[in-house]
Amino acid sequence: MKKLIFIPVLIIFVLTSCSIKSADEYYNNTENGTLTATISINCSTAVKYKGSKRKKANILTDYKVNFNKGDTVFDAFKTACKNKKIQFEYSGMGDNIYIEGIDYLYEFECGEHSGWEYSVNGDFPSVGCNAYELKNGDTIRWLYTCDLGVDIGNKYEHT
Amino acid sequence: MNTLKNFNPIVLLIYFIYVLFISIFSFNPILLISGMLGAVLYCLVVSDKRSLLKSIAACIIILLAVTITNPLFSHNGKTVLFFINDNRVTLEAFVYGAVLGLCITEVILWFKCFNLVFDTERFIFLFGKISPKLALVLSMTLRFIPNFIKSFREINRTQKLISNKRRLKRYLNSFSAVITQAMENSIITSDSMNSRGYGSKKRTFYSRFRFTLSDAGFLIITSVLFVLSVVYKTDFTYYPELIFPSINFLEALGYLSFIILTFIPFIYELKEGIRWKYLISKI
Amino acid sequence: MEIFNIENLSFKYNKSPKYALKNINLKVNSGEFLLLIGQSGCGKTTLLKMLKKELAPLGEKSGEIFYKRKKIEDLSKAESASEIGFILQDPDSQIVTDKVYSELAFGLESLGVDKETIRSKTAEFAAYFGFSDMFDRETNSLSGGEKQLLNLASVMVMNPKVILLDEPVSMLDPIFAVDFIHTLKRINDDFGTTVIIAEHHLSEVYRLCDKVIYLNNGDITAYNSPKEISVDLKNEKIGKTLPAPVRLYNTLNSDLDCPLSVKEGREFLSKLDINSNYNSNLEIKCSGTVLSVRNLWFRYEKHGRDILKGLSLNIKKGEIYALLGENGCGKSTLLNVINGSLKAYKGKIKHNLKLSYLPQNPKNVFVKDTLEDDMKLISNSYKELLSEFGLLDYLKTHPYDLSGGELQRAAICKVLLTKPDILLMDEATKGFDNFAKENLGRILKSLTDRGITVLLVTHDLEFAASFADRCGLLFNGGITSEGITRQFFRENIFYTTSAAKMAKEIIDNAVTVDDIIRCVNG
Repeated sequence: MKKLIFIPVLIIFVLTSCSIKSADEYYNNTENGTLTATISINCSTAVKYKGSKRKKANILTDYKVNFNKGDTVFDAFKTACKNKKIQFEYSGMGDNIYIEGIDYLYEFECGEHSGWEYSVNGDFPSVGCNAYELKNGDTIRWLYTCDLGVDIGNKYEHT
Repeated sequence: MNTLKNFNPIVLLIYFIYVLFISIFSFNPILLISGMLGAVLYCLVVSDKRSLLKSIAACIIILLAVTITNPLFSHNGKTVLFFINDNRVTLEAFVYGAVLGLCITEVILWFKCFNLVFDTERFIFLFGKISPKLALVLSMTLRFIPNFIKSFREINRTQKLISNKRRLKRYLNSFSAVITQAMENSIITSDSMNSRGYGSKKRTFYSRFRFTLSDAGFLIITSVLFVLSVVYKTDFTYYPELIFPSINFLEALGYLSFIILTFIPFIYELKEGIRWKYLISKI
Repeated sequence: MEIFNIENLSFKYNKSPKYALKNINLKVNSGEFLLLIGQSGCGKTTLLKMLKKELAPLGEKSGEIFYKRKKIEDLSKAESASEIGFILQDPDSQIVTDKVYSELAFGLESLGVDKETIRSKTAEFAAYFGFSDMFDRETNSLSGGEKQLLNLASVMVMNPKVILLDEPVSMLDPIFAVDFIHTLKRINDDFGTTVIIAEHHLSEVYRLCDKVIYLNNGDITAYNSPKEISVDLKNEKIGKTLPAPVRLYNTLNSDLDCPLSVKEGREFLSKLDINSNYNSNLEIKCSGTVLSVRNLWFRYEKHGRDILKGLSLNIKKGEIYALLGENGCGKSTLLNVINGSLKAYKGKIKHNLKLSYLPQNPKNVFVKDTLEDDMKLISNSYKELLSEFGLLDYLKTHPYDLSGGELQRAAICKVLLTKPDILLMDEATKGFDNFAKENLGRILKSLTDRGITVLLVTHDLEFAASFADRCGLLFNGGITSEGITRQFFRENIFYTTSAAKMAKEIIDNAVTVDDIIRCVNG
């Protein structure tokens, strides 16, 4: 029975490490930074995909986002989504954060090879989005692929 | 009283497959609730109230647990209730969780019904349709296991009185003894099987079940209802926003078919009960 | 028409130096009811198994067995299975499947009979044997007697021409044993099925059979009708195991017809010149209570029925107390409550001595591969006791390889090593022939000489009458009658020995054949 005392302790610990906010609170809390990057989010492949209900390809076009030194692609992406009230869902933690879905468009929705990938200045980095440190003036593109990146010009991953 | 048992087990098995198939793959809360009601009412008529209450309590706990945990892991959905860190907790995820919970509890309840109808005799019958030898093995096992446990208890009890060995040692001794006895007895059993012609010809399989006209009727009715409810099904959308499709005549027919399908055991049991009461009152 | 013809049959087991069967010649006519008697190890079982192709033992065989003029080896497996039925001794292990109906169907399924025929045959024979109500019961839930009856029914379903039975009733309670034998007789009368039965419980089967075969050391020593053969068996050891009226007749050298039943026995007695009173001492030799049970109540489940209802019992030091009662009346339960395995919910058990317990199945006492190892589990000073019980030769033997009597003796030995003051015995004589019983009786007497008190539970009235000091009848959860053995059996009408039934109102106080003989003048 003594072990059971850990359960409430654990729950309290988890709750204190989470910050719970209402939607308004979350979206109105803008963050500023000294550096800027440009973010686009596009799912033209999903629009073309047979049987897809997706109508709009551009979710975000050339949006200027501020960030601080040392921030990653994920940080900038998060800020952009927050500012523009775009839904997204991720899994994992630390360097291994993986974006499952953006704007209600999820991986595997357009075939088993579909999902989100990102490029910086036209290249597709081989590390996770929370492991790639941004430089001032970088251009980030989040692209939805239906074929492991081939249809969006990512050659590396396919080989 | 459990008059549903009187139908041929194969027909009953098909019926249960129909219900479970639609329940699992439709993911439609209206169908799931109808299925749950059908199962609960049937259990209410056939089984004892205590065990039903226990199952219902377990189902409610599962339902709540799944409903609460789903939004913590799924952040899809347009209606944001609040944010935890960077993750939205949405109404859609709650609804999806509730439907998932309904689906799980419904399957549990239908398995309870399945257990009420399928006893060992019916299981052996189903296996016998595949292979008479398999049915025999199953039947022998069902006899062997309780016998084995009983003799183990007897030996262990005797040993406890005679010997002062520690418990583990005693269990091991008793276990080896009961195995030896079982092997000895199996020689007699094999003699008995041989002397009754085991292996002399290709085995047939005897069961007390027949395929009667009412079985055919049951099969046809359930199959028609199944096809109707599969063809005229309505799809609910949960993500990114809840869309409850409007119902026209054909979809209503689909719903009605499934509701009747799930209520068949209850209706049948009720009908037989009333018929019995009527007969009694005539006497 | 002859159904079996055995010509010059001899048989020797592979590892044995001596012949199990010697030059047997026998013709069995269709429809005969034959009884095979003889001491344990005389070859009864071997002879029966030789008649059934599938069970024939391995060894050196000479001579021929013909079934309907066909060599037994030439019968097809299906033919042999359906025409020749075989019932073994152990009612439980013979059952193959889990339900009564599937057991009845087993033979027909093996023969590849179609479903509809099986349906009608099983229904027919379930009705004939009174299994209609038990048709979908689990075979495990049947009593020993019902199990053996089921074995008979599942052989009869195949409509055999002959049934061979190897001591079918020796493991059954007396009432079921009588039932079984009567059913067998009914089958013989109704269908003309030939019956060959080996048995040592002769009380009913002896008077019902057509011919008796006496097998002695693998030889047919006598073969005659029951009335005639009794004279031939007079001086044989086996003569002592014959039914009470026959034993009485044999001892008295009368010119009258040999009585077989109690009724004939009474007629026979009334024609003799006898003393109408047997003087016996009715004093109690023991005193001082060693075990007392007061107002005991027991049930297995919370809402179940009471098995023991306010039972009280006093056991005196150094006596043999036999507790009698029907199957399922709670005798074994009482022993388990006394030994502490089960707990009574009300009542007191008082004793301040060491108790020991022998279960119904003496095999359960043994857990090791040799007798020696098993004895060592209790104590290292076992040699003396084993030699006293004549078991020293079996030290390296696996306990299960011992004969019934030897196993029981070994079990008593092992239990005695725990140095008990009171010995509780459950159905000690199950499966024993008369010689083994007498042996056991003597051992029990010798135990009481050592000051050990014995409480035994039994169905065996003859055994209790011969060896117990006091008897009690357990009925409906309590002791309904109790008394010194002689008094107990004298006062009971149904629950008594056949000798007492014969002597009732003719000779007072006589409860055994020996008692009656002492009262016959001249």
